[in-house]
Amino acid sequence: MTWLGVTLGGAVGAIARYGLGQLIGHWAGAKATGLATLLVNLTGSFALGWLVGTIASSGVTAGSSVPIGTAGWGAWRVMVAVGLLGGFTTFSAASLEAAEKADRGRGWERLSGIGQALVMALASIGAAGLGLLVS
Amino acid sequence: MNWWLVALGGGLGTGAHYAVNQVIIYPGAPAWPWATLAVNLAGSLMIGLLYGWTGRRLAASSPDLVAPVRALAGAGLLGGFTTYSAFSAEVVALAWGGAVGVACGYALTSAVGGVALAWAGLRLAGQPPQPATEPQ
Repeated sequence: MTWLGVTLGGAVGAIARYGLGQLIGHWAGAKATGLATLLVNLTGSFALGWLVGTIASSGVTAGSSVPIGTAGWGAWRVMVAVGLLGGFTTFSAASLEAAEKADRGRGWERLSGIGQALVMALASIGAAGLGLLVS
Repeated sequence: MNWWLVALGGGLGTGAHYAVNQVIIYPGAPAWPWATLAVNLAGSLMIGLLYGWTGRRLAASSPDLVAPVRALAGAGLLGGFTTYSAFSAEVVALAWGGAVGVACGYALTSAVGGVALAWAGLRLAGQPPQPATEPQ
């Protein structure tokens, strides 16, 4: 049952990400692909941080105050966390966009691709931390 | 049609990610999040290969297929397989638990490794096809 939920959640999450990308691309042009990826990863990270915080405070998992992994989460939470948010956010597109930026550059400009990846990481980690704090 | 391909790929990719999570179990914190690192680095290499291949060879042989193949395999399968939310939540959870060094190392390995592998994939698969026989 959890498998079906994760698969369905992943399909819905991927469609939402693709739709947002099309919408932002239509509205802001082809240069906005990186913006769409940043937006889905920020909002998805915030949502998962919030979800992890609610689980930590409700005492579902014993031991660590903030759990890593989904042991003892229950089917609904796994469906949302791994399925919906996992399908909505994407690491591969973030890496690809940063690599394309590096590939277009010359010499030291290639490092700007790594810079873009680090900005994405820092912003998303901040969003997840914020979600955890407000939960 | 691309919408359906994204949905199909996204479902399958996310299911595959869940399968990896079942195989690689996290021991107690602070643990290095191997499962997420594995899907994200593998997915980054594969999307580089995909975009390199579709942008060069597929675009030359059947350009109409580039967009649907990228929707199914890129936005769908690999987008669903990889995850940013689990990555950032794990970094926060590690740092929150006091393992700040592990959190920083994991974040840097994922972000820099992802770009490097995607770039390697683009370069590997984006080269023009070699001639079948060496010219005499």
